Amino acid sequence: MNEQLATLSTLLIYGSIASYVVAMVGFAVDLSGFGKGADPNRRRKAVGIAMSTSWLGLIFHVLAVVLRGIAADRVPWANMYEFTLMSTMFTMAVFLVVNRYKDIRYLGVLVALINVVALFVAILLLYVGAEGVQPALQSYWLVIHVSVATLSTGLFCVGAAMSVLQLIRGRDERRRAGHRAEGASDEGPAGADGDGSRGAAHGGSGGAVPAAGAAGRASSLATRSASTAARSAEPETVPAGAGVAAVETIDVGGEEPEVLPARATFWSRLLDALPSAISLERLAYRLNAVGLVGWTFVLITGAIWAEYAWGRAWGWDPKEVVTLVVWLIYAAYCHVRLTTGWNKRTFAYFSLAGFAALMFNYYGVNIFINSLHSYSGI
Amino acid sequence: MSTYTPEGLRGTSSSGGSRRPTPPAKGLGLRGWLRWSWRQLTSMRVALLLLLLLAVVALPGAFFPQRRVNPHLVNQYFEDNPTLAPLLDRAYMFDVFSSPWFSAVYLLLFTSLIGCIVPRTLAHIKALRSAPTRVPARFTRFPVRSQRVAHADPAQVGKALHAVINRRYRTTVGTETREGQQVRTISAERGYGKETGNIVFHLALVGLLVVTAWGQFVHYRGQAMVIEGSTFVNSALDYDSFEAGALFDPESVEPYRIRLDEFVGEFTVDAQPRDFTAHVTLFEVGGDSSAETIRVNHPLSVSGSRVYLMGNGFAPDLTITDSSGQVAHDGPVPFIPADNDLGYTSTGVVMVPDANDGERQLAFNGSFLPTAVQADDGTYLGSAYPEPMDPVLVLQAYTGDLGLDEGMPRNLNVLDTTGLEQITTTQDGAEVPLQLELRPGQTAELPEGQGTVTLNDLPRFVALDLRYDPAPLWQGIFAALAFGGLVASLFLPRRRVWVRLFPGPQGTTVVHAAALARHDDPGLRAELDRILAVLPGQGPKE
Ligand code: HEM
Repeated sequence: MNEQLATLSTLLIYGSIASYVVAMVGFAVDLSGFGKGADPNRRRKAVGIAMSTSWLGLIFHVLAVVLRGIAADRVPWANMYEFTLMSTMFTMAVFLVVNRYKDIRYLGVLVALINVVALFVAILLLYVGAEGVQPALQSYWLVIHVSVATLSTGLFCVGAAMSVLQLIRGRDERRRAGHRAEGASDEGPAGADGDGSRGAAHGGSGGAVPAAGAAGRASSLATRSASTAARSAEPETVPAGAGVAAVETIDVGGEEPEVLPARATFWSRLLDALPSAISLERLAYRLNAVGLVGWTFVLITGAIWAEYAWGRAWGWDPKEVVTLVVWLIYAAYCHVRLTTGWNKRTFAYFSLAGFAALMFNYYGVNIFINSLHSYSGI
Repeated sequence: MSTYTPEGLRGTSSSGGSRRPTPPAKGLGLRGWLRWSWRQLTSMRVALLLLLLLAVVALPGAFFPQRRVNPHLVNQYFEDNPTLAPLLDRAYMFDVFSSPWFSAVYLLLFTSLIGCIVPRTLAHIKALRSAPTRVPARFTRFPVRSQRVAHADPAQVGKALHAVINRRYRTTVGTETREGQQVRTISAERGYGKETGNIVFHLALVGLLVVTAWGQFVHYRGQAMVIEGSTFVNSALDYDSFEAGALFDPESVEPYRIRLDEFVGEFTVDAQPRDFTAHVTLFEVGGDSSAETIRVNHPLSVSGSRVYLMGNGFAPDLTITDSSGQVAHDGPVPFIPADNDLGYTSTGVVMVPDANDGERQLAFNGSFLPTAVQADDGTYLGSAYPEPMDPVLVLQAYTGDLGLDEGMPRNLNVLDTTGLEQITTTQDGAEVPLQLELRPGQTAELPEGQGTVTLNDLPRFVALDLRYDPAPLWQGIFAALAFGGLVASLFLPRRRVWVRLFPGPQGTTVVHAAALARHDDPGLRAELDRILAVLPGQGPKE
């Protein structure tokens, strides 16, 4: 009975991989449609199929994880194969859930690709049978610690994918803006930031407000609120006796599309369909910040669990060391992001460095380094 | 690089971890340089550098085995890389976390942290007590702003706006004169919790470091092997190994006793361990006794200390007589299972210093196999299963001088054969080392009447690890504070809203409003819209 369930779980994973492959192709066809200059307002059939198959894949994926847990009679995240199932499940879930609030379908190809590769590696190289676990792993702290670790991994993963797109998009923007206005959009101050100390530099009635250009060609993939109204006359005071009609409703602010000259190559049209590097960076930061909170929780619960299982909260075991390094990099990332007005590209490099450390922590430490976390007997 | 200005510190130059320090002019002397270095150290840029540096200097600790974590692996490394290892050792690669530079980096980082956070805390306390900032002269410099006309007089509009803003914001209402007009203003601020969270987070990190260090100073830790039926006393003398911090107070070792009544191990059919339970009786100092269990992940807590179950195995109970027929040894001896051997192939040493009145001492070493596996020729290959399905004790025997009086520290699980002579036997005309094979209840004789060995029974033993460290509770508290602070700091919105109400014609009011947030705040525009939605007599927005 249990073996059948475990087999069924594996079959579901194959089904999930197949769905993600279809989704990946769908997302790619959709993107290349933009490259070929298709009407951004067309019915995007390919992306519709891609989204449906992504959801289908996720449903298979969740079922596979649940069956795995039933087959092993414990929570299904106790070995590398299962960690991968969980992390990729969360990666897809984070992508799909975020997408309900903000259109990020442009990220679909990357997310589906990552999932397909990671799941293949898991099935081919990391597979182990659904069995019970050694005593040190039997703890409710394991349940909390590892599930949050895989969730954070999912968040960091989508964040890193976002940073990759940001870099590609930013490079394109810079190239296009020419060296005339080096990185006008890529290197601006960190958003609406700095308690006015920065924005103040732009003062002056009707003066240049960052990024508050006239509504240009709305980016076609990302839905945005183009709430900007014309700011032709925005008086700072109301002259005595002025007619009411002279002052209409004026609203400034919110996210605004930037204007870029239209171009004609496949690549350029495709990239034009993406949100600006600034918006991508902002999304990446938001995902990574939530990921950092999760990772902090992972560090703390890991220490508590180690206190119970091994009689010390912190013992500089390789896994602990690299987990701390991952945390330090993402903490430094938040520091840089919150306290400096550095180039946005730098933030993306931090985000990717953090993710690289995370991947090393996962594959490198588990496979190549002798760690308590990979021990098998008491 | 643009510099970061902490809340409330703008315009002051006294303190804070944020200005870009300018090097002192020549001739400022030592004080000037110290001051400059301090500013450097507490600057954001250096803090960042140190944070990343800490990550970098910690990494080798993951690549090279660490003495404090696993000394055996370090020895192994020396054997495998005889030329490289000493060089690495000189570079502290096997003691990364006690290396001078690791300590330097984290101490500097925390100094920087304190230098940065204390002024911020003071500034924040001041900000908490003062009213929101005054309304800025120009609103056009703010990216989020609005102008509306409300069909009601400024007093009414002001009241309505104040009512809605005041729900979530701290507000001050005022008036000013602009171009001869009396203008009402509202200044509002919310999200002090963001800065509070940030400060709590950073201070909690300092707290975490301090309590951890304190724990290191006062802690003690000991290891002991306890055999079924025997009792262990919590006292430095009764431990096989004992270590304590620099400020360790011997009074903190309470002499309670623990008797191991029974040990139960559960294994799957393919020898995977599933559950270990030590059933013990705890005799407390006051005279109370109680039945307790110690399991992996479930240590026993006794008056501030915790007892962990770290290992287990078999302790064959042996009776050994010498050439005079007198019992020279009677009792169980722990045999230690090999690392990662699922079948519990165990090795051990039995020393009999009392044999023959100490003249010709006896010693044995060998293996204990709970479920023996034999090759076709009868040699023992190992153990297939951790439970005693077919237990065999295989021993080699030695005689001579054990050298125990020399007081040399020795590994009790490895027999030092200097001064000993292996006892042999004749087999097919050749002289071969004697090998005794014992199953429970069996007795084997040593050749030439040198004595007998009887395997009586197979009690289990457990390896207990006892630790006294008052830090974990406090570490937990500070970790929770850090976590809460981080969440508050990252996700609470920090917003300011300003409103100016100009009297318009025919009893209307022209409303100017601006909003500002700390960091990206996608909800800022919506927030201002929400506030302005209460304006009386306003037409629907397009
Ligand atoms: C152990 C070392 C440190 C760690 C792990 C750390 C971690 C963090 C993290 C994760 C954040 C983002 C979340 C938050 O705002 O609370 C942050 C923000 C911040 N940290 Fe640190 N930090 C450290 C040391 C320092 C030092 C030495 C300084 C001062 C020089 C500092 C000043 C700040 C400031 C100003 C912010 C931004 C607050 C804001 O604008 O929201 N931190 N830190």
